[in-house]
Amino acid sequence: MKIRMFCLFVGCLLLVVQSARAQEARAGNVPSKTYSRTPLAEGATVVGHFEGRFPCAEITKDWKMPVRPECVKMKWGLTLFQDPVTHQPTTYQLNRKARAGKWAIVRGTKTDPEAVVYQLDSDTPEVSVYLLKGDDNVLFVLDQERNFRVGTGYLSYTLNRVVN
Amino acid sequence: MTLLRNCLLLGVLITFVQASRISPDPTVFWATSPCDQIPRSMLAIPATAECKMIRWELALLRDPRNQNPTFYKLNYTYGISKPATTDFMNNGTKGTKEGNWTMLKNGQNKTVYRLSPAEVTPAISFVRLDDKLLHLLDSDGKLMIGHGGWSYTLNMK
Repeated sequence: MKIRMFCLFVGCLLLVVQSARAQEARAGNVPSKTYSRTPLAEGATVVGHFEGRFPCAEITKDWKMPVRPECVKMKWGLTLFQDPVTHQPTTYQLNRKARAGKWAIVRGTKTDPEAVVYQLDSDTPEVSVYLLKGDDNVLFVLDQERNFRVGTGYLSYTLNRVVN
Repeated sequence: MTLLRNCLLLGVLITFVQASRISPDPTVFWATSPCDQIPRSMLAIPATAECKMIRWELALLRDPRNQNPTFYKLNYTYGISKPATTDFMNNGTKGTKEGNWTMLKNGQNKTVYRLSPAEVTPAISFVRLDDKLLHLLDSDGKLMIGHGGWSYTLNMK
């Protein structure tokens, strides 16, 4: 009985802590902390972890997959890895390996030839997703012509750095 | 003489209407963002208010004669999200800011839209990503960082 009560207490405590963390507003313009209980990968091999939610259909089309009507929005948790010595892009993992592959840095969009663009699945360009590096903390999801995508009043095609 | 006077009056009237007319079709951008301390200050959301998300709707008007920036109207709603919907609990709390807006170039030669509210609150600035996207900047001109749920990118409506 005591053990059951203890477990219940710990469970409630975890819920309260999680809830408080989820509602935590940031005082400054800094990356938010992950809500995940599993720590994010860190270290010299990691460029960063980025999260965001955006409409589902367009990315599904980019991946040459059928668009399911129930797929209204998709949530991304993207980790970019690099060579720890050369800092060259190596692999990426999306939503804890639900999708993974190589990525590369390419230059330029139609309006900005100097723009830094991350190309996911760089070895299979027909299903690549392009991400414009706004800065170290913010990425914008582009279309396959490397134009910006326009979201809705609720969802934008933007990924934000998230840390442990 | 009367005809001349009427013509003159009509001319003055037409000039006045043209000069005072604002672009009939404002460009409207909208988004839902987190409710962090920086946008709370920009929008003067009370510190005690329960706020988890902000819905922005920004209308930008230009002078139809030369397309120069003129007025803006920012409607915003803040509050707690209603689970499994895109709405607010109890419809949220609404506010409005109005004033003039200007365009300037930042250090990276990007176009920045600056709203100048009449009230004393931190300036609200957006970088123009393209014709259809704006992104909120902090007071240092850096892109505001969202979280896994919402971002600070405004989309053309």
